[in-house]
Amino acid sequence: MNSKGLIFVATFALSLLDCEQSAEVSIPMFPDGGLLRTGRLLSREQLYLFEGMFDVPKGSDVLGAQVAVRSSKGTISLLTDKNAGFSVLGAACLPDGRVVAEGYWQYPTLVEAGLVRLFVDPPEVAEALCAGYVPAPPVELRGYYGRDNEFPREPFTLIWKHELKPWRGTFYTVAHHGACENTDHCGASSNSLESIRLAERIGSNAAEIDVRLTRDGVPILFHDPGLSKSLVRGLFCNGQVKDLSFAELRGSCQLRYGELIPTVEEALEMMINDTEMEGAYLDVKEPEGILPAARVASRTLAQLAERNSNADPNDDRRFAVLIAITTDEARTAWHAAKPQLESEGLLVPPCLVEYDPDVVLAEGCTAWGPTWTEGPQSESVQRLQSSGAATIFWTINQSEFIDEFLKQAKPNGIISARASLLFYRYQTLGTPPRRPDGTHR
Amino acid sequence: MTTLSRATSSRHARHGATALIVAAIALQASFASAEELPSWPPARGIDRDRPETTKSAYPVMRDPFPSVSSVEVWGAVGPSVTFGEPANPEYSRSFRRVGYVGEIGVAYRSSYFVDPFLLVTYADLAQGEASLPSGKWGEGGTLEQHLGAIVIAPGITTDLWRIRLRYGLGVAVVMQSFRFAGEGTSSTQLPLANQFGLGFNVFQAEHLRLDAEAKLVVATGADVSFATLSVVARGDLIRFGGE
Repeated sequence: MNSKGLIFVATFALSLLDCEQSAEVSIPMFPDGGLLRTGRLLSREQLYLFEGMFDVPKGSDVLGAQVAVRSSKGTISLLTDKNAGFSVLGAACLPDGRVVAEGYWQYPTLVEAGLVRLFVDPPEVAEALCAGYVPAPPVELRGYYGRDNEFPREPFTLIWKHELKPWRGTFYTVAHHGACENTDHCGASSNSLESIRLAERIGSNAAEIDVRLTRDGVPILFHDPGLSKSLVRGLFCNGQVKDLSFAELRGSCQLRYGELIPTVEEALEMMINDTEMEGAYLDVKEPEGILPAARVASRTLAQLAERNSNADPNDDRRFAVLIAITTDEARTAWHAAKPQLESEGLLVPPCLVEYDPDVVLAEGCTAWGPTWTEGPQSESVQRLQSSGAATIFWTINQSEFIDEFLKQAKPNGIISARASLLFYRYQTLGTPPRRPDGTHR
Repeated sequence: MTTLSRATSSRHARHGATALIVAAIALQASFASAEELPSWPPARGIDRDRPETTKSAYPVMRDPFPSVSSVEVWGAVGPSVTFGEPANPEYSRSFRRVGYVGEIGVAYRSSYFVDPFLLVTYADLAQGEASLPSGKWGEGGTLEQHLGAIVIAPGITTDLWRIRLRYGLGVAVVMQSFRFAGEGTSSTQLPLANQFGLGFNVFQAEHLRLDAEAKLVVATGADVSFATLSVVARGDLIRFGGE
């Protein structure tokens, strides 16, 4: 081959170099469905037994020497700050009288995961659970963990140490557009229903979701203005979100891991009916989206109020929806939206202001949502809390900054893509936020 | 174990381009021996490496392509294949990702290493139909989908004996249209587009050259990639220098 050809081929080859690494995402599962399949799942009330701070005398390699354990519908979650790791377990009473808790562990930022199988100790506690009772702590969990798809063989022991600090209705671990960032490997796309469900299982009790409008004015969950390949797939899924109708979007697009793009209405209904999450923070990306998003929020809250006023107290549900006012243009749109909602017979939903604490009070909003880059701003936080408004910082993912804000600002919540890390750090060194009377919860 | 892998159309593009390069190297190597060269009548009897007054008893390896400059124009047609799948298999009723392309272009050909060109390509890329159930949009029905592109790209090309390599970087006008419930809409995107071409000269006369060309077009910003196999008819519009 002559030099001319070599040079041209080399140039072609160099132009094709693409350094993008595509990692495999793997959520381990027991190949035969595990022991859970053979047992009777524990009730929701029984799962509260497992909540607390646990020491990890064996198996600290995977989730550290201490974990925070919380529960949700059908799930026990082990949460830690080691690589922001978490473990999601189900629990069941087996025919032989043992109680098993099994599932998987994962580091969201690394492609590392494995299986977990634990048994409740002492036997008297397992016996009480299988008899349908809700015993009191302490409880121990003894078993094994594995790596990748290997059967668990490494010793893993958790010993209950003390109760969790108050967090339900007190401190909000707000999931940043679902459980994971786009660069994470948790197997669910951001701003998807699946991601919001996973967010609760890994430590969140609220979710921040991004809202955009389709061409025909349907508020959907989506972050970017464009349908980029980093977020969606589909041969006919191209262009700007605002250029497609909801039917075109639903018929042509899926999120990165195959989920449908949900509407705000679908997301709020799912959060209320399928999770125990306490709130949704609607980050409306365009001012023209404020009214449609607020309309959906108001109708959802009205339906919830009607449900809570019925004769059955067992289905009562507490859930808040905050419309985020992010800019002056959004504030103008909010001013226009309020009388429109009232003319439609709808209540104005609560609001949150991101940029100025004085505007929070001026607008009568429920919360202030400052960016963490401005620092803890402890005085402003305290002033607003004294006036009955909450403070939720965004978006903090590093443990050193989480610690700083928890200790100095003592906020009502933090938006984070590392829910496990945030929940754990709040439990270890956080302080419940101030009440309006200045005391802490 | 549940495994989810992110296969992107750019991965297809990389594999396709790699295959083009390997094919180019193989074809070039197959014509390495002077004795194996086909006897092309040169357009003009001018030896590239020897002055006219010098004669040699040994056979001269003649460049089959003219060493004078020219403005070359070409036209090409052929089928295309678009990489990708419809997003929602449960809705998708029919799907076609084999389409067609038509192209016109102009190049300045000279004795230099590479020659510049400018081309315009129209591609009818893909078409589909999806059945939507009743939902927030009202009654269910058929969603018709269509994808096309116009690519305008300058680039460079070089000839390696009978092999023509091309690379262009330009703009793609990606056109997407839908029709649902009697209403049609369309939108466009303007991403950058890379194109890699590998052509083989199958016929040459004094004023006409015919190539078979494989090409890969990657519009990264729109996540649209397609490959084509075209018949290219080329001819010199204007010649400079020589006879």
